[in-house]
Amino acid sequence: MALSIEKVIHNLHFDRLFLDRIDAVDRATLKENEKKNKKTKLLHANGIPFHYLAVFKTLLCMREADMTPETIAKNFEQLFGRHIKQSSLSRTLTYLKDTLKLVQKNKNAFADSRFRYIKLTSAGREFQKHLIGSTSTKQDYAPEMREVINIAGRRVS
Amino acid sequence: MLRLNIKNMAKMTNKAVWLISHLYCKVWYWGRCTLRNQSDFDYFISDLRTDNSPLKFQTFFQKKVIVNDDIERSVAVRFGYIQIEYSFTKKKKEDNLLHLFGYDAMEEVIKALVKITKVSHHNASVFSLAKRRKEKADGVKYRKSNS
Repeated sequence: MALSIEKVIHNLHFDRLFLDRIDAVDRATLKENEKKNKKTKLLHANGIPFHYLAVFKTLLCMREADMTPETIAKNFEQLFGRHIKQSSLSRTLTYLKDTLKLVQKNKNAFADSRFRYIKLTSAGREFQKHLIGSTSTKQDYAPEMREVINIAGRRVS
Repeated sequence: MLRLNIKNMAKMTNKAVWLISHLYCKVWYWGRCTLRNQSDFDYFISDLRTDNSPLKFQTFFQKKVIVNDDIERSVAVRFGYIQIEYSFTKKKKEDNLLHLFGYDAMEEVIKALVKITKVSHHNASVFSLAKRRKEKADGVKYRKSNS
């Protein structure tokens, strides 16, 4: 039971950090636009599309050398049982690159395969550690989560 | 001066292509998906120019099929620096889902109980001791009843 709870905490912690990343980008954009006296539109005011998270998790489960759009789509289907179109994948990867800055990629489909790449940034690698539940990661939100988790009628804190 | 003009022209062309491609794809999407009430088409338009390493292409137009299998056909088209990726869904995948919530648990329990009851009412294979008695030393097969 204790081990299962730890798994739940790792999983929740990952999701929480992803949302934090979006929040941080929002705040940075807001500050920047305040200086320019521009109006800011919040990211995902009506909820975050799940496939952003799903594609990112798929990337985190792969080696950088294997990260091609075709392999990512194939692995996405194997992991989540749902097909992702190349255009949708490109959109998602562009979002992860430009907005959240979690991946780096060369989006040119016409470039030689040697020059087409997708790789994780340092922030992306940090997320990878959280996903695999590495002991070197610091789980800042874990105490709060333990307060909330109440499976089988007993708290785990 | 001439170089600046060419740069400006390239930017203008790029913007025009960007606008036209967005407009074209929107109409395409509307015609194919909204009118037919289907979602078998998707597109994504991106600008290939990067600040750090300016790309140079030899031709203005290029087309490449990225994926073409049973499920999807994806094509990338480039007009100048604008890349349009569009995908068509060919057919839906076969249903191989795990139906976690598709059955009634109580129904399964009842079925199992009925099965157990049926099994317990089978003819019992009783070990018949009467037929397996050993013969006595005096040759009497069975002990006579006292009654």
